[in-house]
Amino acid sequence: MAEVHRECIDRQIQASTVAGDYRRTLELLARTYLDTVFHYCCRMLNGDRALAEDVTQQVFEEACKGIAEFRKESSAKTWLLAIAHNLALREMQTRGRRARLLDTHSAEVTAHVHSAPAPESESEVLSQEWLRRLHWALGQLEPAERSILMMRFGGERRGELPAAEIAQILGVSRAATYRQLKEALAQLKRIMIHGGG
Amino acid sequence: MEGDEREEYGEELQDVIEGLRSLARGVETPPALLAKVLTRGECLLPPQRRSMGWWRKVVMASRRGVVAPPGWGLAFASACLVLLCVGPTIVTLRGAVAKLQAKLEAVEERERGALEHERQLTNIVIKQADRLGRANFELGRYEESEESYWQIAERNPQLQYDYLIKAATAAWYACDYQKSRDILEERIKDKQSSESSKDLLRHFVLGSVYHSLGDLDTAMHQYKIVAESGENEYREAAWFNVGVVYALKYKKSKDEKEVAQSIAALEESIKEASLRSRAQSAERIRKIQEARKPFDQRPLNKCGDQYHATQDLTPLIGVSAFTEWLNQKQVLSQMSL
Repeated sequence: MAEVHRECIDRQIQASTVAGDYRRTLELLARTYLDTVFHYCCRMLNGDRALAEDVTQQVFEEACKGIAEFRKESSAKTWLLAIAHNLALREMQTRGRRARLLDTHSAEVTAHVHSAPAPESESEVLSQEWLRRLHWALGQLEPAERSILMMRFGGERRGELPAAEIAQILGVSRAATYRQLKEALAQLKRIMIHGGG
Repeated sequence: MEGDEREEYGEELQDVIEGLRSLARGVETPPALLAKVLTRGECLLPPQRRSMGWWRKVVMASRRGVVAPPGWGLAFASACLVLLCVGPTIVTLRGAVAKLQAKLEAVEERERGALEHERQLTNIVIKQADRLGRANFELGRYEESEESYWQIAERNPQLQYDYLIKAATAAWYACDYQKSRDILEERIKDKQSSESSKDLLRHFVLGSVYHSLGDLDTAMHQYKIVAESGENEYREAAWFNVGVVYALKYKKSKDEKEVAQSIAALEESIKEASLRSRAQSAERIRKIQEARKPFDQRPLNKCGDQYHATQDLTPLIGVSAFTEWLNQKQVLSQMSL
């Protein structure tokens, strides 16, 4: 059902783009995928909502500049997340000070997480405490690993990208994408359990 | 996909996957972000393409399945398109036709004006030519008079018959009998006069022409057409000329019957004149007396000599019957006056 809705929206976006009605295209893109992009940016930027808001705006600004070139080769969400991926990575690389602050913060969180017992049941997994640890562990991942996990699992089921489209964004094969996803997930769990390394 | 993920990633990682999804649920998008994105984005949008009309959008959308394929809607859109395309063209064509009609009317109006002007000029020219023709005729300049009448006949077809007769008369007075005959016999042969008197004039002039050419029988035939046509203005002169023709016949035949017929015709001429006035009758008797004078006692006629066929009653000089009749007429005329 979600796929049908997404295809329908994508057709409308493509039709308005082909018709040259870019304002309509922008409205459709923003109303449909703003949440997905913001969630991605927020997770990529370690929950910094203000920064995520800025990057999200930049994502849609870049989309507006290249809106005339948007074609059917990829879905609108793939296209937007590809832009968000690049902008988020660039943002993380250029903001060293922010990275250092995150390192300090992560050290504090690491100490807190290590004091907590490992999860043993589903109720515990889904508990608030376990989520805080997951959030912290996510911030410990390499940006590329965090990005691929957020694209694949970071937008609930409706906002998630299939592995094939992630492969398209990253410019790698589908198998390589699966491998990277599996490695990123394993690394994330390792960090949660062992506190990194 | 869910099954694939379990197989691919393993059961041990499912809790992490679900945890990631739970984290996404906990993130709320700022309410004002949508407005910000739209406001800033609109400023950066490229100019909207105008080449694609709404109808094309419909077609494109229907091709992509975004909207249902148009049925009646497409027909209606096509009709509107045709109207939009053809409408202005029709309006433009109607405007062009109106302009052309206006121009045509202006040209026709100018033509009417020019024709009216030409007609007025023609009337002036005809009046002037008529005056000139009559003046030259009175002055005895018959060739010039004839030329003026010819100009009128050629300018106005409606006046052609009358003025050809006048031209023929001028030619006859100019002693160009052959030309006069040609005009009367050939040029106005197929033409009909609106008035019978004009036809009688033609017959009278034609009789005079044949008379002058020496064709007395034909001249007699033409004169009698006029003389026997009932009351008309040429009848007196026609009877007189008939009397002259009989006198000339007598000159050749010496037949007394010709004298009697000549006297009878002259009598009819005087009678015709007497119907108008006694003075007219006396004038006719005087003309008869003048016509029997010997030519050596007459002034030069219009042709530069003393002879004129239509005024020749000299063959009756010495004929007792004619002399007695004429004397009697003179006495009666003097008594009536």
